[in-house]
Amino acid sequence: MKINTVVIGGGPGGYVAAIRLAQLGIEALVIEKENLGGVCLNVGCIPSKAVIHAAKSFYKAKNEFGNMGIKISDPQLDFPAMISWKDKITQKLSSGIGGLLKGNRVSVLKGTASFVSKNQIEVLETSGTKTTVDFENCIIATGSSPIALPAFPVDQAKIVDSTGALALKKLPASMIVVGGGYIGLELGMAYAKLGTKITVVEFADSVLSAFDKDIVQVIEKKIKKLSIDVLTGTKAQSFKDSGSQVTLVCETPAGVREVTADHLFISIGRKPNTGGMNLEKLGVELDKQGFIKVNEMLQTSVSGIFAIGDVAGQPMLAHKASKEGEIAAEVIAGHKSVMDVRQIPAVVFTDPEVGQAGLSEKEAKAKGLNITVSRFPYAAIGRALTTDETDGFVKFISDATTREVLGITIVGANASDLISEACLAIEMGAFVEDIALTVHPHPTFGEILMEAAKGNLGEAIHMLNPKH
Amino acid sequence: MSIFTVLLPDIGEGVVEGEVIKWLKNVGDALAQDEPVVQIMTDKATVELPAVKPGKLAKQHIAEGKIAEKDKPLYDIELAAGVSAPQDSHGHKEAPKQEAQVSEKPQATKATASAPVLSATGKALATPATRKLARDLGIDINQVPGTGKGGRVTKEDLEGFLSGESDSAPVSSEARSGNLPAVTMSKTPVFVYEGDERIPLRGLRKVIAERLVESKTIVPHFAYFEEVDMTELKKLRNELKPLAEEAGAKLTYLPFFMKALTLAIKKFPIINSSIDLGTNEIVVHKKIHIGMATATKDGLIVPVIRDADQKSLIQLANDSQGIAQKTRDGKASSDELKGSTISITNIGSIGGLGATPIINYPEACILGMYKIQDRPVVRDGQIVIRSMMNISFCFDHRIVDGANGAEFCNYFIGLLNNPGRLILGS
Repeated sequence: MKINTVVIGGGPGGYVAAIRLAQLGIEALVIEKENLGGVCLNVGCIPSKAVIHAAKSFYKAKNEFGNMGIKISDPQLDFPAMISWKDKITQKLSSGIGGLLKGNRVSVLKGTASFVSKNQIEVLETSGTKTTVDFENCIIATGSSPIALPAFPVDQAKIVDSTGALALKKLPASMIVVGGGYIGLELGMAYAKLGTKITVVEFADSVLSAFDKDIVQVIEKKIKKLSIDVLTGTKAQSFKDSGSQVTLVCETPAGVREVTADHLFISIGRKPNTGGMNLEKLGVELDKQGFIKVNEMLQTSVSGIFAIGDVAGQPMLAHKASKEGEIAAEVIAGHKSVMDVRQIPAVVFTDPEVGQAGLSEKEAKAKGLNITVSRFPYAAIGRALTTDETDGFVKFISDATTREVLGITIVGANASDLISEACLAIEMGAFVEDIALTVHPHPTFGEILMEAAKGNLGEAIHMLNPKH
Repeated sequence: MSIFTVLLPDIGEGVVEGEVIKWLKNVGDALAQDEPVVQIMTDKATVELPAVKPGKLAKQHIAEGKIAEKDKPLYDIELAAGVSAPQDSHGHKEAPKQEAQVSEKPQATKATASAPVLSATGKALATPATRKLARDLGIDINQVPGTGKGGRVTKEDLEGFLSGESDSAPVSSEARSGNLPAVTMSKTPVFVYEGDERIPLRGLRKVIAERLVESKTIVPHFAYFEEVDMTELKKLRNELKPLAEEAGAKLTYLPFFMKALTLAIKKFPIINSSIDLGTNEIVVHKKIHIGMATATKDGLIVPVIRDADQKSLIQLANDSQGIAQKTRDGKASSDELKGSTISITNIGSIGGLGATPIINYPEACILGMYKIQDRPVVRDGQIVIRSMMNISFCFDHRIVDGANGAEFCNYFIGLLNNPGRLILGS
């Protein structure tokens, strides 16, 4: 087989790259060893959001509807039905991608790929046959996998990673989450809402340590409300099989402690998938963290070979992979495209949600920038009260001299959707006034960004502005 | 371990930039002193640049297919232990800092525009669409003074930047064409069919494309056809051929045509000229340097026979064959491939009765030579068989009018019809 561009991996980087290539008239082949859509669609973003939404709905029905005068006597959870609802969503989306690729005349080969040379790849198809593909360009979009801890071998039964945690047969009575990053907390909080007793073990001195402290405090409040135990500064050491359960031995600042639960969920981070492709033979260079080194055109150290998404460096986020996929495709088509984005947003589906675009307060300070930081609370917005979602605030960071918007972090309801306005503002090089002077519809959550921008100028209407 | 930034050195008189054709070393590769690091194509010659110091290739500043500018960073060497940075003009000890670049920026002409305003993150204030336009136009947007609110760079600023001050501005070669209209390729979408092959337009092919678009866009061409009676010239050449061979030269018809061209130019000097758009003057060249269109495996290249009017037929024969071979072998230097004042394209050896060649800009004239055929012609009321060759001239009509061109051509073919006049020199 001979093809212009081979894309290894059909995740949010790879399939987007292939479609963009097809749009630009370049013949592309996607090689996928599992399901189209990658981790994101099959065992990551999408299924976890389904479980999180279901858990939130269940929790509200049980604990919060009463605030609005709605009485439901003892709502019941059919956990297997919830999981199968989630599975239907991922199947639907995955076949949708198959349809898009087909409609764009992109071929798909199911199997694993291994480089023979910089212009040839061998695919061991799922069917067992070996196919050799000659190509001019290749985009490596193999993504990442959960980091395994040697002391905690994942069996997807008692010891699970994020994939296993989304495919449990029955609702666990208890679960220990090792790693208080966004994946561990999102699912930990969701399971807590469904009724699972959650213990979070985190090595750092705070969960979500990448975010500013004041942001994390809002989530910690809810963690407490959900009766989740958080052991910070704690190292998971070993485990013991305790019959139907598992016991974690960990070292807390107060000494060694044992915690027993139905499952141990390991979520300490992800690592790039660079093995098994014979990359060494091509001389494709990796950086110290094991990511494939790429330039701003996503070109690796070997000409004609590109890398995008998780395998090509931080942040390991689907939307970054998709953007890079488009750029790599355009570079292959001879366009003058480069990865020159001004921001890559991050969203966390904890309760409440977090959305961040541009710089955080601590990043801006670390850069020594002269900034104006302001906050605006959800509780001052009508819509937040009418939906019973008053926790959280918007943090607005601007250049103190020029008033350019440098960063916006939202912690609160719908933060994951609201952050898009901040993304556009930063990408456009907006000034604080640009947001403050734009009429936002009332009564919506969206007003909070306008108010926060006004607050940054000392002119918020629905808040008393600090005196300078 | 110190990092040494190597700048694109002077690789030929008047060469200000070159396209990076191929990196011969990848980042991280060890470099021995004088080991070739990168292939650069300037004008029409491709050169390999050797490592100025031993060490390790730390960074490639210019991607393959992109333009490297003279005295701008080309690559970084992580110097081997104990090696000191050279103190000549080929490198800086450290890459220039942002402030240094900003202070070198051109002063804007518009009253409202001032120094480029950069965001706290060190980048120009501009929307994603404007940034994309800048990339497409080959402009470093961080160098563009913005006229928008707070120094924002607008699409209009980019256009103004291109048309206004492209001499000193950091604009890539695609965008740089003096005060001339920017040369752009057609924007009509390409039809794509199954089985189409895509070949990147780069290297020599790209230069050819750009040069010819430039010529056809700027120069109002007009073509003029004539025929030369080669019968006498054929006889003369057959007589001189063995003598030339004794002197070590292979005598083709080309040297005779060159000779005739130089004599005709002496009579009609305006043919050997160029328009200088910068000063609005016609520059009439006293030197006669003949460009000779030469087919190579990579495409058309035009090496130059210098001072053709000062050379004998034997010298012209030797020079044209020598330089053609050198060009085909890819060994001609950049200086040997530029500076012609008039050009000849000879496809007669392949075939063809006529064509309208494109002027080798900024020249004013190109001569096309075609196949020699025995044809029935009328001489003194009788049909006789003579050896005939069609020729065509394409002229720049801004300089040469139809009548001038015709007179020049008449004189030119007169010399060839009676080749004795070539020896006479008039």
